[in-house]
Amino acid sequence: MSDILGALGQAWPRLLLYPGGISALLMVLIVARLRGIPPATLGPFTLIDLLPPLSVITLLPLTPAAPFAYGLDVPTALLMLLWPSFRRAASERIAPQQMLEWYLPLLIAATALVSVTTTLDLSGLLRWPAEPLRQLCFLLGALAWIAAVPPITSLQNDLAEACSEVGLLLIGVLPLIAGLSTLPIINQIPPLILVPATLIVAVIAADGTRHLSLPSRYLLAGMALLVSGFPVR
Amino acid sequence: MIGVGGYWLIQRRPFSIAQGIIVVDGLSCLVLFSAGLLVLTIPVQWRQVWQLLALIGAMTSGHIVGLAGGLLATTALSRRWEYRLAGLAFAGGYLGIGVNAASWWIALSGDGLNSVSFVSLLVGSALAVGALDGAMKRVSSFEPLMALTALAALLRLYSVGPWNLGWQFATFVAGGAVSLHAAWQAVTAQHAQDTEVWLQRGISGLALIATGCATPAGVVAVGMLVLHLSVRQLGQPALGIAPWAGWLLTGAVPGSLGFMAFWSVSAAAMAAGIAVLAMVVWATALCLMLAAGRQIGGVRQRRGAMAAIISLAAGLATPILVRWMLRPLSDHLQGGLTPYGAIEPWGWAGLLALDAGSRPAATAPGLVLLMMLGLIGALAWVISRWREGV
Repeated sequence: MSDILGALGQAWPRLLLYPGGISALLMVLIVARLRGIPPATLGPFTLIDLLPPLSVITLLPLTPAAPFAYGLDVPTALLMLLWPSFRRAASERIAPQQMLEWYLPLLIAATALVSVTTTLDLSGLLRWPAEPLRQLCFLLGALAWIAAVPPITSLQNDLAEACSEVGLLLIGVLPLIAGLSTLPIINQIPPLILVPATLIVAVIAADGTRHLSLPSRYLLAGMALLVSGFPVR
Repeated sequence: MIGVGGYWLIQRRPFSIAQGIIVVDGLSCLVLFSAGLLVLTIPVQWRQVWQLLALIGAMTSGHIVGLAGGLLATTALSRRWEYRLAGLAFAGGYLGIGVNAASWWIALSGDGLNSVSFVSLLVGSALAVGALDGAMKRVSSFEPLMALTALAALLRLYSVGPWNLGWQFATFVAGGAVSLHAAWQAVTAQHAQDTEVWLQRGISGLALIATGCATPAGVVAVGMLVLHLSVRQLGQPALGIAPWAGWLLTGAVPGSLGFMAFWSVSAAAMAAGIAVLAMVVWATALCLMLAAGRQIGGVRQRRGAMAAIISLAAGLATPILVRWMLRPLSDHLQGGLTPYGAIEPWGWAGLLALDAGSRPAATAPGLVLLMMLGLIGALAWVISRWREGV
């Protein structure tokens, strides 16, 4: 038990400053402002919806965050980020067919990404593959992931939704950060600038794909999955 | 209680008496413990008592005839003909192994393993978890004891010998079809009772997939799912449940037993190197969680709250459960398992899935996540109070 308490004790910069705490709040408020979400008071239900996505952002393997021994994996992160839309879908009995349309492209993109990394661990998304085919799959997977985010987060119009969107987009940019870090020019940029810059690109990209048709989202995710299935020597 | 007591005896090696006629191992103890929990949830009838005794007899038998006879008796005492048919398939499968093998003792009958017997056992398992109801699109009832019998019958095959890849694939297909269909039916069902039936079928289907992994991780995942099924059956959430307790029993709350059970199946698939299966399992689990979330409501029952507390306590204690209850299960079936994946306790934090090269394939720090949620929640509450003050 002492190792857990020790890890939590050493994780205070992660919890209060980056990627959680102030920086997470800032990112969420900016995205909420962009989406026209009104700043609301924090009620008990908003808090219950807000906590899981905020925890995921806090535990993301982003540089230069303080090291933390207990990382998340893709299924757990997905579940916690989808929690606000999930709880709402359950309480309002939203048609499952509609839910499937929203979630399936994201799950297919996730499958393509974990097929390349061969681990469910989120930190695996920061390992840029050596083979060009795998690199292409990583890029396609990240793009499909980002394109799948807007329908999911359009379900509700509050801070929890904005928080989910930030979390999902941050996971989507992990492969992009990994790819960019291999370029000598980009390597000179401090990670504290690189992460928000890629997040801004992801927000713009998600906004651009907002009106994309459902078959196009499936096509993008399907292509990523198809490429991930090709054997590499 | 006998199951719990049995765990003290079998921590190092299976306990054998009467020259190997009775063998108590990790699988026997898990089945005894779970069957005891399941029988607690139904009104006591002699039929169920005899079923339980027959299942105990089958799972503690070191001889194939005892195993086949016990399984046949367990299912023959059921009221539904498809369960009796499943029993015939189990008995036929094991007797087929005995006839082809050089010995009728389970531990020495590896040379009798063949595809006909395997298919017979797999068909029996699919029938017992309700595949026929799924195919005929009818709800009917679900007998968790039959599902437990099916899983135990299939897992016992690892005591006989290793499976080939074709058998594993067939189990994935059967488990995947049952769980996906049941999850979709659960999420689209209109009545809470129907949802519960499909939900438990879906959980059993996922357990079939985990069995097909043929790894220590898969066996641990089956154990976790059986425990989750028993706790859910104990809580009877379809009769009415408080929202907090209902969500704890869905498996959508990190750290709860349901979450750890669903995660362990996905992790077992990933540790075996099948990423697509891992994500299909997780998609099915999400459907099952959503279905369980949709049935929350009704008049709040105390048993639901009790089961939710048990689920949270057991979920946080998974490192102990895995070390004490489920590791003997995988250790004693080791002869038939492949080394492609293991689920290990991660200190007190939760569980860690390792692949064949002992690299982390998936992580579930349930306790750390709950602590983190508590810390961030407290911080947000303090900030909101401060804002109100200003």
